[in-house]
Amino acid sequence: MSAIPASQPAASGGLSIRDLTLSIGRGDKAKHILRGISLDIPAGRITGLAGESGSGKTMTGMTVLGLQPAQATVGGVIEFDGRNLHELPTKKLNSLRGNDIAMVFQDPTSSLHPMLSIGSQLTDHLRQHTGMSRREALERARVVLEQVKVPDPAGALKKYPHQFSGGQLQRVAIASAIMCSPSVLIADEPTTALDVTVQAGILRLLRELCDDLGLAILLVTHDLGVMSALADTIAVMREGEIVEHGDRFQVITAPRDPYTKALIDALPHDGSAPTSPDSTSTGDAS
Amino acid sequence: MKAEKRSAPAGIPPLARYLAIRLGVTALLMLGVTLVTFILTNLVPADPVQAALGEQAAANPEIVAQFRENAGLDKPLPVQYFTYLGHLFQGDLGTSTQTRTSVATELGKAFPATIELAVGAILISAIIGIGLGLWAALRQRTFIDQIIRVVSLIGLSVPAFWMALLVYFIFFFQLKLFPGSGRLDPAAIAPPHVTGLYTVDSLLAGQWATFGDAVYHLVLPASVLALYTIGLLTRFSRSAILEVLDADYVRGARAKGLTGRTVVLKYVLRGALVPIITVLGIAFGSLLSGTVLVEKVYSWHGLGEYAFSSATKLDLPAIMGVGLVVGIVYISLNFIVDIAYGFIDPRVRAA
Amino acid sequence: MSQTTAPAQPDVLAVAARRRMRFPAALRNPLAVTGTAIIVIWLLLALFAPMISPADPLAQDFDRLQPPSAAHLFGTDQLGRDVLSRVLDGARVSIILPLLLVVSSLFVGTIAGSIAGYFGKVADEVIMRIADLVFAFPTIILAMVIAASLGPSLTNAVIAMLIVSWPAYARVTRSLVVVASRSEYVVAGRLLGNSPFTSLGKDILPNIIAPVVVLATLDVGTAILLLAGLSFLGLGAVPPTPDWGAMVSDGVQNFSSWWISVFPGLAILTVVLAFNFLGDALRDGLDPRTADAVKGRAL
Repeated sequence: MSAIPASQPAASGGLSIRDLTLSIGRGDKAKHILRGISLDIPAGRITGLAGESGSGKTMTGMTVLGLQPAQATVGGVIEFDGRNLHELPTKKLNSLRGNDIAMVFQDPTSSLHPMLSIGSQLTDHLRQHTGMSRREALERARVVLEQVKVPDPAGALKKYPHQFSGGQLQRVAIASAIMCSPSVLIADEPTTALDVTVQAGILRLLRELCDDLGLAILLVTHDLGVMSALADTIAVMREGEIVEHGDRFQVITAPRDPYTKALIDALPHDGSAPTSPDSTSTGDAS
Repeated sequence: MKAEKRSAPAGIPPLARYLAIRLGVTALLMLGVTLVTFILTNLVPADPVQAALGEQAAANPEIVAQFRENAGLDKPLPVQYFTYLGHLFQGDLGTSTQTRTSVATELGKAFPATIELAVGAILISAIIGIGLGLWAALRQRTFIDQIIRVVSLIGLSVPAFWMALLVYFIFFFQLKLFPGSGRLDPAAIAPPHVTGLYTVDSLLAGQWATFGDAVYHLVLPASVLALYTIGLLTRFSRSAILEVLDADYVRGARAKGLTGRTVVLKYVLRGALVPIITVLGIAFGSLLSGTVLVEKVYSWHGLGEYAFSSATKLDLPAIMGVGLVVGIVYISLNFIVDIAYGFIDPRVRAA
Repeated sequence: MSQTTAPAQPDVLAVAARRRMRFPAALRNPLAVTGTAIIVIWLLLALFAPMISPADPLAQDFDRLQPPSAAHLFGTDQLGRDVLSRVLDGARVSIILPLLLVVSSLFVGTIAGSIAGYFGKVADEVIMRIADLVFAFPTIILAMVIAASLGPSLTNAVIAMLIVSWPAYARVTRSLVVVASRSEYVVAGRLLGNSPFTSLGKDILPNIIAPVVVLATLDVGTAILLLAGLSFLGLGAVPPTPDWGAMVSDGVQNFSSWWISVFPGLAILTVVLAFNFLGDALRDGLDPRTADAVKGRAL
């Protein structure tokens, strides 16, 4: 249960990460996954976190929610709403998860439970966090599905994940994330598992949600193309450290760090001008 | 991984098609079971006539000749098989060489007793086994996980017939804590026959004392039978749950801030349910086998005791009857498990 | 997670080598050590039973139904035989026979499963449908039915057990062979002109043998219980041959003389437990990709 009702617009707080460290193991054998990350994720902006696999970008997202591996040691500050998240007791943190800080995963076909109906998966956390009745929660779910442009929202609530296409299912997953009107959304490679043709639609949806709801979005991706199309600011990670951080035009057009430069040069297109997601596609087919 | 679109084939509803296929397979297997008992009754024994008639009658050439003609033993094998099948369909499972009574009648009396015992045992083992498996999985690689592992392996290693005797000796003979034989107190009157399960019948008749007595009598044999299946279910649900704990959707559920209770009960157990139900089916089959070794000790007049006394006296028609009934129950059970998949997992319905 | 680059194709030889190397590691597990120790002790006892038995296991020399004492550590049975001597001698039938049986059904099942999996089509259908028929019965029920129609004797009990136990190996082997025969190194071998039997024997079987051996280890316990069960029913060892299952059966008639059945039962429990400890530890050491095949079977 949370004090914040679901209907209140969550434009206020963003997230601020200061000197975040994470290591697994102790002493000489310890593996340092995060080596002092500092990053601001302000409301109404999309903050991109780029880097190749193993750079620690996904772990950063998970650690914000306290979902790091059980044997990991975490240091530093994850400030949200005046509190350090990683020092909160589990119960307190649990009341923030999915409620104030939500997450969208890479592959919606595996991040949604295959044997539970969409309606059940969209409402269980809402009901837990707000104490809403089943009917109220289902009505809200219908509204949110409409907001993320899932066709036939009322019918979709009764369906199961395998009855959706990948793109539509990712919209459902995003709906699940914004059910409780969170102020922060962590999107971990939200388009990587999808067909190229539907990626643009998902990206545009994230942009709209960011603008309309004033969400603070942390977009984690290895795809600098996606990044340049969507992020307001871009941070580039390498081996647990942020090697470059700045405005997207600056990072894409004039990278300071040689590693970032190498990443940008590796892009298939010229990479000079950030493209806009809202030009071509009319959204994904169901 | 690319998410693909999946579409159900047009025409027959997928669930109906799935059920029809499973039903067909089930029917074929049952036919196969009758083929096995036919071969074992009529072809394998050195002298099927003696096996069917018993030693005394087989010594009389007139009876033998009469029997050969009646049984159609002079006809070709396929004809014999169809005659055999015809008898089975009329509920004729032959005559016991020992008691000279109809095997079908005897089995009909024994069947409910064994079902009652097996259901009691499966309830005990499902609750304890799945519970222990869940506990071990949630505490993976800890001391308690190791303890549960050893306990479940002991359960899998105990010879049921020996444990039956030991438990009988200690809890009935020495401590007198539980009744040691029969399904009801000798002075008690069986509840009016509806299902043949005393627990159910007594409840239907509102006879609480009889219900309590029936449960009291169930405790020892059902617990002994459950030992093996507890071990089986513990090991199996542990590994099934461990697999699910790693799944993305469990991480997703935790990221939604659901309580540990909801995550485990709704997401984890649901995800592990299909493999667990599969092993429940296997477990029930092994319980039916177990009754053969356990019922005798507790004078529980079920299929197991009947099989035991028939086996020790080499009463072939009776033994085949038990094999046939247990085989058919086992196959039906697997069919029920298959249907359960269809209701639990929406993807099976669509497949 | 964010792994987007395809993992490098693992070197097949390295994978195979690693799989073989895991066995010694699994053997250091405390359960495996305990299990192996108990098995070795029992095998030695079985081997040297005639030399260490305090009495003749068949001789009805003593007072009947004497409780355990210094003269008879495990007491005497209803015919005045020394229970300890019978337990020791019974190890020969009750352990060695199931061991031989498991080896035979492993042999039969692996061959049948390989043929079904590698050649497919008619052979596959015939072999696997027969296996399905066997799986249509709970194990001991089918074994009991077969043993009863063959007539009670140890040989017939073992035949019955063989009939009911080979399909488990056939199923596992078949599924492993089907997967392995599609892998690139097997296809490459065939393109290079290997005969089907070379391909099966040299390329496929060595790579699938580990899970089958683990299955067999777990199966020894099951086989010991099965034989003991048949003997308990009077369908296995024929009196007066000492056999643990039959000895427990003697205790049903004389249940107040607990020692008659408690000691042979304990013998069964310890040796079955030992094989299950070992098998369970070995299963942990299996490559996760092949472990699936064994998980559901013979737990």
